[in-house]
Amino acid sequence: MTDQTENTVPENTEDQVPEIEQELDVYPLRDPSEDPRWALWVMWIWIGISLGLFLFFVVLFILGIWYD
Amino acid sequence: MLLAMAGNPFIQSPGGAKFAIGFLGLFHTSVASLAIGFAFIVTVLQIVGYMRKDNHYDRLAKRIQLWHVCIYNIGTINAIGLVFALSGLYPQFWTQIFTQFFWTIIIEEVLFFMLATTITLHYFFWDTMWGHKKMHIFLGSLLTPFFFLQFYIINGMGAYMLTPGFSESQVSQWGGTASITGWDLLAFYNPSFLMLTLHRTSANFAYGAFFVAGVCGLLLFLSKREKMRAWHERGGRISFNVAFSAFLTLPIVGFFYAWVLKYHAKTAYDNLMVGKGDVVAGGIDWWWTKHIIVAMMIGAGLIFSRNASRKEKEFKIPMAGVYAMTLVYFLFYLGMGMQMTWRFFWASLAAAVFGGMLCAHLLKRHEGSGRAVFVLMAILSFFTVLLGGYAREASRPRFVNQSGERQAGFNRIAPFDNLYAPPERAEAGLNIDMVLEKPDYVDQMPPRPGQAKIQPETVEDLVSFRCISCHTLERVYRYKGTDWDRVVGRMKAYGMRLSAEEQQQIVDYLNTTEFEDPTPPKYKGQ
Amino acid sequence: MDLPVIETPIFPRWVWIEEITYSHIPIATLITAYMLLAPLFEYIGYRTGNKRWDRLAYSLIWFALILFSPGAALGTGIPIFIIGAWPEFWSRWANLFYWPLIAQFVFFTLEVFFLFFMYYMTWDRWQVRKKLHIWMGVIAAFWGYMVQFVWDSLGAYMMTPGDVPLPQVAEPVGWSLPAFLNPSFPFLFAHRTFGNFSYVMLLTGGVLALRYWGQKRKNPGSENEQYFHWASKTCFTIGFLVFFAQPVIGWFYARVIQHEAPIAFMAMMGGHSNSYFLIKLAMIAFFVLVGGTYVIKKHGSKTMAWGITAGALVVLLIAQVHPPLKYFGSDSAWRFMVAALVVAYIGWIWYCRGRGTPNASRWQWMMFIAGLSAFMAFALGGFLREHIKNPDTVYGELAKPETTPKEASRYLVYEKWLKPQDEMASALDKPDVDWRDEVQQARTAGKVKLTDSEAETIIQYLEEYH
Repeated sequence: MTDQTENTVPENTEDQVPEIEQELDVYPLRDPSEDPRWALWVMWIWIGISLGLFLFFVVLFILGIWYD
Repeated sequence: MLLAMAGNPFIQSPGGAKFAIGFLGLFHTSVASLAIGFAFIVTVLQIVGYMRKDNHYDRLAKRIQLWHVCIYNIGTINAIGLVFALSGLYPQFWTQIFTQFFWTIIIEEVLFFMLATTITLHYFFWDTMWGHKKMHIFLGSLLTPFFFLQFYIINGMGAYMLTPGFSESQVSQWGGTASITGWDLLAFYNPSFLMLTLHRTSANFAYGAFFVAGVCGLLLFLSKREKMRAWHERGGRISFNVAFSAFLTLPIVGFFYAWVLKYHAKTAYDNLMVGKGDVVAGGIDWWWTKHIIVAMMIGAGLIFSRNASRKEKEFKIPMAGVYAMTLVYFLFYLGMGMQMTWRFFWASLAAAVFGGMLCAHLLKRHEGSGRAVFVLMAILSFFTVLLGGYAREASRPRFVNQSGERQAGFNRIAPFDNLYAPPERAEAGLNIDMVLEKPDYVDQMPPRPGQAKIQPETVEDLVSFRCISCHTLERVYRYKGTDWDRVVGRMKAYGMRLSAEEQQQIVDYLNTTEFEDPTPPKYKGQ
Repeated sequence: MDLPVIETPIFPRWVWIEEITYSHIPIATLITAYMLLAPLFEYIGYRTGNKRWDRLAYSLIWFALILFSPGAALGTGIPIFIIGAWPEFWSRWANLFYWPLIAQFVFFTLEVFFLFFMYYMTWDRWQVRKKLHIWMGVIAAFWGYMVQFVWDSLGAYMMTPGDVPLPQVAEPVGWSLPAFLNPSFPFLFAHRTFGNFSYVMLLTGGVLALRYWGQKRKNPGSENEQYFHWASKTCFTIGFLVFFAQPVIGWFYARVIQHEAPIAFMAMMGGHSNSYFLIKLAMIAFFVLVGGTYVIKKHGSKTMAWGITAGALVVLLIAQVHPPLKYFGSDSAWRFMVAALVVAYIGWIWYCRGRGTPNASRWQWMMFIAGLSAFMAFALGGFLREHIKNPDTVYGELAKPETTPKEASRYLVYEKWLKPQDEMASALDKPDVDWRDEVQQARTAGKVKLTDSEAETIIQYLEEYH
């Protein structure tokens, strides 16, 4: 359920094809421009921060082999 | 620290402190180890899905990541529950080791947050990032090194508890400042930390992937639709192969881990191999039990892999590798049989054969589907993870009694007859009225009791009672330096409470006594 | 305790713990408020048939789930940092509250289980079992609320330990009912409950207002535009109306602090922490003015106007009972000024009823800013509570190791100079006073009992800082 859809009550659960089964056949790659820009910004910023922190910690532990 | 004199009283917990810590620790391990395994298998599935442009793998990965998001919080709160329990039940130990490893734990905490956010972003942005799939997979792949580093840190601390890292001849210049700076090089980079990290990392990959396979197996039992069954079968097989591959690496690291323990935690090694101390609880040797289960898994995994290699065009592990590692396991068990008893070897062999036969039967029974095998291996893997952690903790020698013999059990508590307990309010029932003045009874409360002291009778007792609160006497016996006054001074900085007179007594005793090294290391050619 | 204190790089320890705490608290309070409100909204949607309530409830829970893992991870950082940086405090405090801490762990586990597995993941599947689904949400919210219940008690104890001293580490306690039900706990718990609802709903309303404006520009007339318009108005109004419980609870909370932690009370009311308190009040005044104006413009009904009037009159009552502030010279001037302000506000509300263009862009931004202001007021509340008991970590029981001479002297002034004379910190702001003479006279008259060194310390402090 997303904030674009309304609530729906499934009519007949036994005959319906599960939503997930319908998704299995297609690998839905799409054009990069279709991804929301704000999401990309969040991802890039987070990847940058987390990689930076990770490398910083690795350096600390390497330095820690010599320094006390 | 006051507790060093008081004999370490603690809060009473149902079942005892060991049970509480053990339960919380194992609960945490079962969830947290799963998280590490999930992170790895999700990346593998996403990469395979991307290479084949097949959404079966990607959707399975997404589902696993949803479970991951759900259980991550349970693991988090479990960890903090363990911290609280340790704070209350083992305050001296916990405060000291915490201060010793303070900065590593802070880094761990930051990694914790980084992981939580990465998992959350990775899952909730899944469908938003189909135009940047490689970036999405990269984000998910960051989880594995982050988890590894986090694990690296916690295993430094955990391994220190088993191999505190004294050295044969080198005098540590830095240990005395550890409790001030929050970093202790020799404590963190202790002898067994690397082996423990590698061993647990592989084991967690195996456990997480076996768990995924197990869930796929369960869903195979429940699914009625053909497409869904095919999906779960495929997902289960690839997860099983990832898990079994990781599992096969374990004896190599395990061997070296045991090697390190043999020379740096001899008593623990003996406890494991011979079955002493808490390793044997309730009449069962849990170390044996773990290895019997592992042997079953080898047998079952071998038969499953053979079956897959004959029938499948994809998802098979090269049988040469499987046979080779099975042979390594065989030799491993042979070696353990030589060290322990031959009964152990035969029992393990029987378990392996039984596991193989059971697997063959289940495959036949379910018409070639691996669903029952997946569930079986998931359950067995779960037990090996718990038992491995338990055995490591249980193998540590714990205490010495007054004649210097090591005893299992927590038996050093001085009896406290007159504990200070804050009185209930004078009025019955809940009273949340604002109190303007202190009630009179406050001034009439008894003074706090003096600390009960265990009175040492000889200097040997004094050394034993004071020093054993933080570490075993092995490191005392094996220390070859002559600067006992500095060493004891450093121990005081760590928190050992000594009067000047007691300190002098201990230093004089240590300076004038030749200790026989109880376990001369073989590698020195002795 | 004998363990030396670990020094932190770049900033002192209190800055780091503040950063860690502030990273966690807004997330935790948001999640708790959302969890308590979502089942209620879902129930309203179920009874009225209005699907927007259900959509709003789902959105709140979905957002709570996104924040949950990072928020929980940040929350673990608080005890982790404290254990290393304040080992004595932690050991003794965790000793006293051992069983509540273990209980809190159980509550949290249950919260996670019900929220994730029984409430969120079943939302679509249990559309036909709405009542059961709502109950799952209620149970999840209950456990989450219980987690807050425990932590508020532990936090309140640090301010008002009552008659329960902080035990030594070697005195295992584990549980103490009077420590748990310490004097300020019920008030802190109530204050934070209503405060969370208020600031969270005001902020959520503000954010949704901006989303409404975005939809209005991109998809005018769409269901999304109407939904966000409705949701922003609803959330904001709830947040505004709930706020009026706060002055009442806050009054009694302050009274408890006055009796149980008088020095902390002095610090807040006219003392060295006073400026933060005034900023907090200014933030509150801002969002009450802006929020009230929007709400009455949006809901033009007399009922709403009377409701806001009643809330304002309660504030007036509290202000009338409050001792006059020194700035106004006399008691009457204070009472008159406060009454005039409140009457003016009420008059403004009635004037604005149904007027203007609350759907205009500037009002959506005003709602957002009002929401931020409410957030700042909430954040300052926590800061204030911790700041006013400086230099104590636990009031009257344990001082922080890095107490500066100035803090120690100031504490002495409050405790041994102001308190015996029943005066507030504003009494120190006297121009051209010979403090040495003042102290000597007070000692001679028996108003204060000071040793010579205490008197000297007090005189030096007063001469230097007042």
